[in-house]
Amino acid sequence: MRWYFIRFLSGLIHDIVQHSEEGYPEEVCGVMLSPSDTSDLVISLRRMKNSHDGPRQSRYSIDPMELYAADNEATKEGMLIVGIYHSHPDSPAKPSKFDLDHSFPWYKYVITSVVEGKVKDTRCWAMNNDRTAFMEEAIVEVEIRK
Amino acid sequence: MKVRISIPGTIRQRVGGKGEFVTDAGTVKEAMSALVSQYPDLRDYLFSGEERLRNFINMYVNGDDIRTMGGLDTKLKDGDTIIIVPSVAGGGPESELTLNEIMRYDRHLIMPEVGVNGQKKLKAASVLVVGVGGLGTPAATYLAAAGVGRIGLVDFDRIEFSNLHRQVLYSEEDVGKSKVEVARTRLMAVNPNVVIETYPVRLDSSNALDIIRNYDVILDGTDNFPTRYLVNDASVLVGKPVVHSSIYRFEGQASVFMPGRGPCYRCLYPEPPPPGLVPSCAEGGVFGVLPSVMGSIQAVESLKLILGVGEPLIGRLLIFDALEMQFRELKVKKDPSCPICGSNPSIKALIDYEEFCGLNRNINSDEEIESDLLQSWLKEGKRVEILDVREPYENQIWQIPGAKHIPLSQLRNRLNELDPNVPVVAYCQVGSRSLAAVRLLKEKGFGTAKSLRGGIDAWAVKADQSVRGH
Repeated sequence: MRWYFIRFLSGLIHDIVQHSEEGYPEEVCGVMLSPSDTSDLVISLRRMKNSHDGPRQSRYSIDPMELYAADNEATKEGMLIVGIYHSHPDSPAKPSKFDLDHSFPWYKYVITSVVEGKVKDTRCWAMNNDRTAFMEEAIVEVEIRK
Repeated sequence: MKVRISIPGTIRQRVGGKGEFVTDAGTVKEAMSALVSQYPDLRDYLFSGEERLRNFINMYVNGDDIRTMGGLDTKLKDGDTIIIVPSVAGGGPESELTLNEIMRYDRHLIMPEVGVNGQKKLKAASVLVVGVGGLGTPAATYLAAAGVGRIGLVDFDRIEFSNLHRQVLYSEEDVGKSKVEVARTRLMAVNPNVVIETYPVRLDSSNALDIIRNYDVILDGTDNFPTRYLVNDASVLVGKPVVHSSIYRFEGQASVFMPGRGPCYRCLYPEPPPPGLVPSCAEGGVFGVLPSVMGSIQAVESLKLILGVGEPLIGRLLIFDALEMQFRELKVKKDPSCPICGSNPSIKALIDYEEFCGLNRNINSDEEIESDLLQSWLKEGKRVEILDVREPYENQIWQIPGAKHIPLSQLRNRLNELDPNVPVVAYCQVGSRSLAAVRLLKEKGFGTAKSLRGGIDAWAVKADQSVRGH
């Protein structure tokens, strides 16, 4: 049996919420980073620019070279890009058909629903391997004990 | 040629954790063939079908996008580096159905008249519900349940206790709250897949076009003539169909006004009735379940318009009589001289609808009295004849203590029961029939007669809480 969840260091979900609200009514996006050997624990985020060249209220895209640079930087720091977060202004925190068509089974996708400027819902999704649907994963926030 | 392929971190695990792959290749295609023959897992991620690069996979040769060069046939030189980068994109919902929706709408999907395509049409569609009361609440509930993607709710009112006998979306604890806000919460619970937009405003000539413009279908659940004419005119001006209904006691009417295809509300009723002639629900009452029947008919017609199935109620006025349990139908013809949808329209912009419906009529200050002034007159012991002009069954519910009861319909013949030397204060439920009574009385020599402004409703709220104690 597989347990569907993703762990976040405490505070990171708050950072995603803040980014989503700052960018409203446009979609914002960023990458989620894990230690390269612990891919279900997100320890850091990088904001990415929404470089979609049409209306950004219902679309985002990350410039491939910006992603490539982030990927290289993560590798240098012993981390891995394990997922992408983005916001859905005034729509539910669920993947759209467009998300399904443009997602990869190797990433986790965190989506926030921003309604009238406030994040109402934050959910995580992972695509099944045949790329036909998303499964929801529970978001677990963890504290690191010193 | 010896070339390097740089593997992004996220798919590195599929190539044994390596950051790069070195091979001999003359073109990008040859390099990729070498890569996927060694790591077959990657084929499906990089290519769709035979040899087509997936449109969300980018490849760069020494920093240049191969799409701007020779694509997969781009020639390689010794020492070239190929970078593979996924193009990460996404966005808000489209009108495709999710798994959740496919399960939820199963009973729609298996009907040929709806099916997947029809359900997608519903998801892509938007309906504006004007008035979230007796008609609007059942209509909006069915629209939300049916999966209409975006539903706008316009209502300025707060929920009143006397709404609860018919407006079943609301409960006792909601009394005093904004109708659109409570309705939004309930409708989101009915179906979280739909977007509910709220307008807690009074629809008027300054905002109607901007609001109505944003929706595909306008569902008119208003309870007054000015707003009904406003919704009609604004919808004609921006070319939106109106699914209309109105209700009175046990009878409901419904029709669909489709610009360009049939008559509009003005073709049916060119002029509003004189104020006070047609009572509202507040005044005349309404059988609680009647608006639910009519609101459901409005939902049916709205969904049919979106789906493009069946025969819409265009050019037909459906009349439902709940007491006789009969549906009748009248044909409504488009009026070629209609001032808004006719061939030579005189109305080209929104007008003042209160004035059009005679509601901005200048009430002479000596025709009405405020309930608190009447209250103080009574306290002072001023001699005054309080006259209830409502019907007997209304008078039985509650009345102002000491009032004489003569229904408006009998007043003309029973004037001899009133003393012309004693000032008369007439009242009804909301103050419109009593105004008619006062005008009649003044005509007949009762010069000091006054109408209680706002009727017994206002009196009960402002002056005499004991009236409510019935």
